[in-house]
Amino acid sequence: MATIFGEAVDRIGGEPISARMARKAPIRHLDPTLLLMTLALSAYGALMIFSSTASKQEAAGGDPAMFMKRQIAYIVAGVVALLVVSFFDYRHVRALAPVIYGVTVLALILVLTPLGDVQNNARSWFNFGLFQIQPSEFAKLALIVAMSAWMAERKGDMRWLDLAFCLGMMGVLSALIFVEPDLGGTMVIVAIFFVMLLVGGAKLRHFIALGLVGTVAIVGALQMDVIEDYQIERITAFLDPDPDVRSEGYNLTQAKIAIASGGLRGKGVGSENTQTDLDFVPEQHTDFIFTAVGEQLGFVGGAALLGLFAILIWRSLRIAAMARDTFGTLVAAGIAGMWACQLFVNVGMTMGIMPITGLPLPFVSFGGSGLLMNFMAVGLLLNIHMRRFL
Amino acid sequence: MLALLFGLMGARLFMLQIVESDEFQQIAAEQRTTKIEFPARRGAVLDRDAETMSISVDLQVVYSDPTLIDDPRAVAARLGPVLKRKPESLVESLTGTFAGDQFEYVARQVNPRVAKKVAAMELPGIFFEAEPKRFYPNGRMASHLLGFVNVDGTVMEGVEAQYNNVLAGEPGAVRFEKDTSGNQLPQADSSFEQPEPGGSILLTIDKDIQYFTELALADAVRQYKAASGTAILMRPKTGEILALANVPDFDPNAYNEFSNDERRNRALADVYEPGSIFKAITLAGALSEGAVSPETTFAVPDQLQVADRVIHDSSPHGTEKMDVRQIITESSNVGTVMIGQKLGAEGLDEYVHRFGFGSKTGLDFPGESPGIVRPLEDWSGSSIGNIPIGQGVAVTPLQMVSAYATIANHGVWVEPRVLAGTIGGDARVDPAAPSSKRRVLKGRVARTVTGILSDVVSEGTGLHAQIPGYEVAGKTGTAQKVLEEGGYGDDHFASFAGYAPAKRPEVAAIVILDSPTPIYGGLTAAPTFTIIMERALRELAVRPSNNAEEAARAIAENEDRSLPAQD
Repeated sequence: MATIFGEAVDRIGGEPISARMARKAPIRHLDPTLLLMTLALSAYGALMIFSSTASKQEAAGGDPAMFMKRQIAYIVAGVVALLVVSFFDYRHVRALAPVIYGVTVLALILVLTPLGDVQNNARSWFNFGLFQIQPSEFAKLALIVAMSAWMAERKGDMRWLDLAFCLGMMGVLSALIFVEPDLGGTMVIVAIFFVMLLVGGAKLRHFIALGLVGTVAIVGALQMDVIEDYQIERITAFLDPDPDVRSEGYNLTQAKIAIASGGLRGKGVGSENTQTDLDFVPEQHTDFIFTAVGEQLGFVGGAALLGLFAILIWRSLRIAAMARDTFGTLVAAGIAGMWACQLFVNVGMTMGIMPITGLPLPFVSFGGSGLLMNFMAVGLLLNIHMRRFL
Repeated sequence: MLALLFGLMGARLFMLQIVESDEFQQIAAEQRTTKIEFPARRGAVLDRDAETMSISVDLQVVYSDPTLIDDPRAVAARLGPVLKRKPESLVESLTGTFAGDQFEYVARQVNPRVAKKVAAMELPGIFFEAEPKRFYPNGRMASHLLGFVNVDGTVMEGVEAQYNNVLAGEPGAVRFEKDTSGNQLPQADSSFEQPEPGGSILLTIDKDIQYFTELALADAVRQYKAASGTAILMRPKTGEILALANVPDFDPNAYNEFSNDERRNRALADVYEPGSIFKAITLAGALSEGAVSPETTFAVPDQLQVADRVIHDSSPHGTEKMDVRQIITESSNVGTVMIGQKLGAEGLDEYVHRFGFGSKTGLDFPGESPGIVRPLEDWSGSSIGNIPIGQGVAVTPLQMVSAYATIANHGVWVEPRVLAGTIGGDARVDPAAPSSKRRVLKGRVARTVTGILSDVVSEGTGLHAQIPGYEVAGKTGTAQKVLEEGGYGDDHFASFAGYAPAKRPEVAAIVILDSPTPIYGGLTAAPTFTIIMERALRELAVRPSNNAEEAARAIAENEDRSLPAQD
C-alpha cells in the first residue's frame, strides 16, 4: 500500500506508522478474533464432553459433570499458560529453541522408561497424581519452534545440510513418539515437518529427495515388521466400505452411525442420543468427540465447528503473513499447519475418509496436555501478532 | 490446499448427515434391537381315532450370560449336582467362548422341576427359557411315519416334516432395545407378539392296527431271520393308509441314538425288484388289451430263450398246456413271459406306468423314491423276457400296495394318503380333501384279475394267505436281490401283496421280508400277511363273506395237501 500513496499514507503526523504503532503497548495489537475462537472451541468442547460422559458417569454412580469440570480446570490452566507465553517477547523463545528441543527429547526418552505411565497400551504419560503430562503433545510445538529457529537463520535459502538437520530433528521426535506407540502423534510430527519446509522455502528437489527417502523408510518398516499388524489393519480399515460391524471396522462404523444419525439438526444435547449415551462409540469424549457433535447437533453443529476452526486457522495464517520476522512467520504457519492436520485427520477418521489413529481434536477433545499445548500455541500466536511492530 | 481440506470435510459431513442419514439410522436401530423368539406350541399328531401319536411338552433351557458370572468354577460346582452333569463339563458354558460372550447354553431340554431348583439358587448370570420338546408317548410306534423333531425344532422327517406348515404355528417374539452392555432400555420401544400355536393333525393310521402290524412284522423278521421287513395296510377305496411299519425301527424320543439305516422309511424310500407279485400287472394289461383271456392256453416249456437270456420256471417240467389262470396261480415265469410277449412291449410299458410305477405316489413324503422304470426306448431285447415277471424294474413297497389296491378297487387307482384332517385353533376338524383317483382298468377286467388272484390263494402258491371266513386275493413273490455290483446274488426278497375280502375289498396289504429263511414269499411273507390281515379285518369289523364252517374245512384240507411248487 505504501507505493501508491507514498509518504502520505505511511506517515501520520510526520512519523512512520510502524513506529507509531510500536510505541503503543503490545496489548493494543491483540487479535481478539483468535482468542475468541480459542475460547469458543474450548467451551464447545467442554459442553460436548459433558454430554458424552454424563450418562455414563451417572450410571457408574459418579459426578455426571466430572469430565467437564476437569476440562474446565485444564482450560483455566491453559489460559494461564497462554498469558505467560504471550507476555515475554517471542524472540526470547527463538533463543531458547535448542533448550526447548532438548528438554522435549529428554522428556520423550524418560517417558519410555518405567517413569512413564501406560494407558491404552501406550507408554505416553507422566503421572503426577493430580494430573498427567503427555510429552508428545508438547513435542509438536517444540518441533515448530526448533525448525523455525533453524530455518529463520537461513532466511529462506535452504541447503541440503539444513534439510538433513531438520529431518534429523523431526526423525528423533517422531521415532520416540512412534515407539510409545502413538501413531497419530507421529503422523502429526511428520505433517508439521512438511508444512514447515513448505513455508520455510524448501525447493522441489528437496521434496523429491524426501519422497524417495520416505518411500524407502516405509517399505523398510513394513519389511522389518516395525509396524504392528493391528496398526496396519486399523489404517486400512477405512478403505473397506462395509467392514464387519463388530470387529476391525467397529469404531469406524459406530462413529459413522453416530454422525449420520444426527441428520440436519441433530438429536439435541442431552436428549436421547443412543449412540452417545449407550456407549456404542468408544473414546467418545477424547478422540471421537466429533461423533458427539454430529449426533447431537447434526450437520448444523458439525459445520459450525468446522467454521470455527476455519476462522482459527485463517487468523493464524494471517498472523504468519503479518509477522515481523521470518521466525514469527514460520512459527505461526507451523501452528496453523499442525491444527489443520489434526483437524483433518481427526474429523476425517470419524467419517471414514482418513485412517483411524489416536489423535485428539484440538481444543475440543478431553485431555490436559493437548489443551495446554494448544493454548500455549495460541499464546505464541498472539505474542507474534502483538509484537509485529517491535 | 486448506480450502480443499475444509471442502472435503464439509462435503463428507453433508453426505453422511443429510444424504446417507436414513441408511445409518437403520443400521443403528438394528444393532440396538434385540429380538427373542418364543417358539409356538407345536400341534399334536393324532391317529384316526384321535389318539395321541406325538405331542409337545414344555421343557426348560438353561443358559448363561458369562459376562455376569464372576467365578465360573464355583457356579459350575453348584449347578453340576442339580443338572446331573460333571461340573467340569459346565465350566466352558459359564466362562464363555470369546470375550464379551453373553449367551451360552448350559443345559437343554431340562425338566421343569430341575429348572425350578436351579432358579431357587438365584445364581447371577443364569437364565431360563421355555423350550418345547417333542414327545412320542408310544415310543417306537409308527416311528418312520411320524418322523422326529430335533432339539432346535428344525430338522424333521415323516409327518412332522410333511405337515410342518400346519403343526409349527407362528413363533412369538419380544423386541427391545439395549445398550452395549445388553441392558434393556426402559424408555425405548418394545413390542410383544403372542405366539400362534400350531394346528393338530389327524392321521388315517389306526393305532391298534399299526401296533399289531408292527408286532407281527417284528415277529416275522425274527422267526424267519430276515434282515429287514416292511408292511403297509391301506384302504383301497379311499387310499387311506391304516398302518405302515418297518423293521428295524427307532425311537423318535431318542432319534439321535439310531443310525440312518434304522431311521430310513423303507416302505417308500427303498426300491426292490418285485419279482412274481408284479405278474398281476402283466396279467391286468394283457386282459385289458384283449391280448389274452383267462382261458387262453399256451404250450409252456420250463425254459424259454428271449434274446440273449434264458427264462426258467422255478422247477423243471415238460412242455405243458397251461391256460392263463393256471400260469398265474402256479406262478410260471415262462408262461407269464409268453403272456407279456402277447401283450407286447408297448402295452406292457403303458400298464406299468398306468399303475403308477416310475413316479412318486402322491403321498409325497420326504425321501420317497419314484422307483426305477426304464423308458420304452431303452428296453433291451431281453426286457420283454424279464419285466413281465418283475425283473428289470424297481418299485417301492408303497407303489406295489397301491397297484394291488387299484385292482381291489375295481380298477380305480387312488392316491395313498396319511392325512385324515386338521384341527385348527377353533378345535374343529377340517377333513382332508379326498385323494385324487384315476381309472387304470375296466371294472370287468379288475374283477377277472381278482378271480385269478383268489385262485392263487385258494389253490396256488398263496395257500398260506388264507383267512377263515374271508376270501383273499393276492400274489406271492420271491425275487433274487440285485447285487450292488450288478447281477443277482443268493439273497431274496420274499413278498406277498393282496386284499380281502376279494369281492368287496376293505383292506389291501403288502408284506416284504428281506432275505428270510426259507426264501419263499409263499412260506414267509404270506403267513405274516395272514396274521396282520385277519386282525385288521376284525378290527374294522368287516363281515365274513363265506360260511365259516366251510372255510375251516377248506383249511383243514389244505393242511393235508403238500404245498405246490413255490415261485
